[in-house]
Amino acid sequence: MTMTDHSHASAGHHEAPEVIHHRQRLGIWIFIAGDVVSMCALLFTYLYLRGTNTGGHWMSIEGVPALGRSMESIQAFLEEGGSMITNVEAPLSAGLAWAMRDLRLLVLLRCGGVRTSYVSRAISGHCAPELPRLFS
Amino acid sequence: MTTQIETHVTPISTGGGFMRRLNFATGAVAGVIGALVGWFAAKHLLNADGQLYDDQVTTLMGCGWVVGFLLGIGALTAPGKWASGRDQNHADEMFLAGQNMGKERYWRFTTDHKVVGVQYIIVTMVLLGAGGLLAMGIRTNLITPGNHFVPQQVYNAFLGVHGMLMILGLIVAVAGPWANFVLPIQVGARDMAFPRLNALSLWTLVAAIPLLLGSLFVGAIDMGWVTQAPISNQSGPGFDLFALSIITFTISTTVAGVNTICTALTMRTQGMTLNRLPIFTWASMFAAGLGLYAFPFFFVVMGLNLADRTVGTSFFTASGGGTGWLQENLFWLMGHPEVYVILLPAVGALLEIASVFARKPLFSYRTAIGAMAGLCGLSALVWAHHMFTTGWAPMLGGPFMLTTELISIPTGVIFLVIMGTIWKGNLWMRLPMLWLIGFVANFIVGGITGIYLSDIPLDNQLHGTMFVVAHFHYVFVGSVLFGALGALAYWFPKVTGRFLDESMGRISFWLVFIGTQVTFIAMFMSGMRGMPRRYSTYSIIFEHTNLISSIGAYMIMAGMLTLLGAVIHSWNKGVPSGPNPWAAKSLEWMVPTPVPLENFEVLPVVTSDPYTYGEELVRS
Repeated sequence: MTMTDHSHASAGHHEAPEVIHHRQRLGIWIFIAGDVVSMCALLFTYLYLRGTNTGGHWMSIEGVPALGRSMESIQAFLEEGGSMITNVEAPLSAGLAWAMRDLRLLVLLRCGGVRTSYVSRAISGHCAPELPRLFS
Repeated sequence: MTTQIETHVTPISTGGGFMRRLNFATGAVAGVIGALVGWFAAKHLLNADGQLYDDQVTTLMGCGWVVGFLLGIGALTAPGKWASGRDQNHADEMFLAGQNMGKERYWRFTTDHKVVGVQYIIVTMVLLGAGGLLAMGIRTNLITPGNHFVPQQVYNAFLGVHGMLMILGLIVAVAGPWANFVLPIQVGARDMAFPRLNALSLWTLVAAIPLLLGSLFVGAIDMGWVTQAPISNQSGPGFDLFALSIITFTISTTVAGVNTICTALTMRTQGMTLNRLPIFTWASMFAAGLGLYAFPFFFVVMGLNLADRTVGTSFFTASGGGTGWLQENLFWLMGHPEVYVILLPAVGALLEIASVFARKPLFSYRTAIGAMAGLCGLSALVWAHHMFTTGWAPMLGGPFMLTTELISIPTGVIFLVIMGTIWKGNLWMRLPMLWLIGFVANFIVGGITGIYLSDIPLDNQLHGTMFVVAHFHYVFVGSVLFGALGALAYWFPKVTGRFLDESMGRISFWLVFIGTQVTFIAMFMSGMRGMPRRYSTYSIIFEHTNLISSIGAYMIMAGMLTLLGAVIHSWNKGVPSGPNPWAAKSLEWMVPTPVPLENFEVLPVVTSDPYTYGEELVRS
């Protein structure tokens, strides 16, 4: 490495306030990036537990009421044609189904003129047959 | 006739105020007081009959230790002054930087990056030394089947704490000492971007060590360093201290990572463009960035584990709605990138050594940087290969096998850059170069066995066997440790002004190199014959290979002790080296030794890259 020793720094080894400010701002942004990753890890935790429905303590992927709901409401849901997904569901496929459902919801919301009922049915996971019509 | 001798030594700074009274000893005392306060608070605020009481008390005591230690060492004095409306003046800053303070500054909260670098060397020695002692206990127990040198429960504790001590030690082995001591000088800066945060990261790490070692005395972690749930939730209070030590450690690495990146990006001197950055600086920057991605997962997984144990949540307990697979996912989301956080700084240091000791420009500088970036990117996409046999997401086995095999491409590229640099070079076989050659030999074994393990059919056979243990020891001991020791031999003259003793260093190298082959080739054989890992005893059919492994481990220990002797001897009585003993061209070799407080009297202006070796010969 060749170099010259012409100084470009001001005498007294003091830096300009803007330089210090720029450095501090970058530092804070990097700290924020680390915090974002921490939040992502917590979000991953939330989605994973919600998706896996282990032990029935979380809402299942197809809208079956979580623990604490009455048996009557579950019965009514099943009579309407809803399907019951239990914790025998493989964890990842359940998680993926959750992700897919959210994706569907996003797609529906992006499509203009989507009726509210579609959105509500999307939330309960029953709008898949409607999708081709929406895209056509 | 009277003569008057003029001295140019600046007197010790008059600043510092209350900081003058604080050092490591006051930190330790305040830490103990903090732990007692934690115990007192727990006793009076918590229900002593509660199921979680032991864990709550242990956790509060651990928190008290960390806060007390940091207060006692003076880490929070400057922010405290700022919060109370005052600020540090120039004299205070000079005191904090350890101006003319002698050896005392190594035991204080000192902000000078060179002091912090030396402090990291000592911390690394403590971590690797303690981990090495536990390894000796493990290997002694495994000399013969049915040996009870270490009781079974203690054996499990040794395994877990050995693993974590070594991982922490290797994370800081290169990035700690050299990204602090060397990196700011390499980029032409007077100090790190945030000197106080730099010292804070060091002393936060120091605060974590007693927690980790202390866990040994209250049950430790008896499920291995991967802390598999739900076993971790059933473990004794040692796990609380362990989890707290990891949380403290992740805070330390985050702070250090921010500092490293900011220094490399914003403190570069004039002419030090990104194209001219020394490769070690690039490697440290990538490792710091990857650490910022990986260690928050470690923070979260340990935090959730602690929550399960102390406030009764059930993130990882199936009976309460959680799942152990979540713990495994979070852990390995950290665990695999962490391998590259450890590896990259060592590789960066070895690339510097390759160029200097082959007297050749670095082969394909930009390719090396691209390969490091590729490693960082891909390392975030391979975590589930650690879970092939757990039954989690079998349909993702194929994609994760593919990404794991893909990561061998940038790894191979880095290998080729090293080989291309020393190819037909005029090799100067001094101690740093020896460690580099050792690294090359070991890295190829560690790397290729990793490709074997990434194949699901083979992994189904070898997972959980000593083959896996041998593989990652070839990576960590054979590659990273060799890189760390090469870096130590290379930059030792810059730190001390003396060469690391060549004879003792060579004896150490051959003991460690041969010991590595003996230990881990025999371990490969044990694993291929089906010996499971983490067991304190084994079938008679594994007797010979285990005996050989233990003999090899003793050789490694003998080599490391020889090296420790060489370091202590050379630091005091080594051959003087002068400021640039290797005739290297990067900026750290352009400053005097010992390096002045602010590194450069006048900041340099860089006009070429640091690897222009041999260009004079080409021109002539």
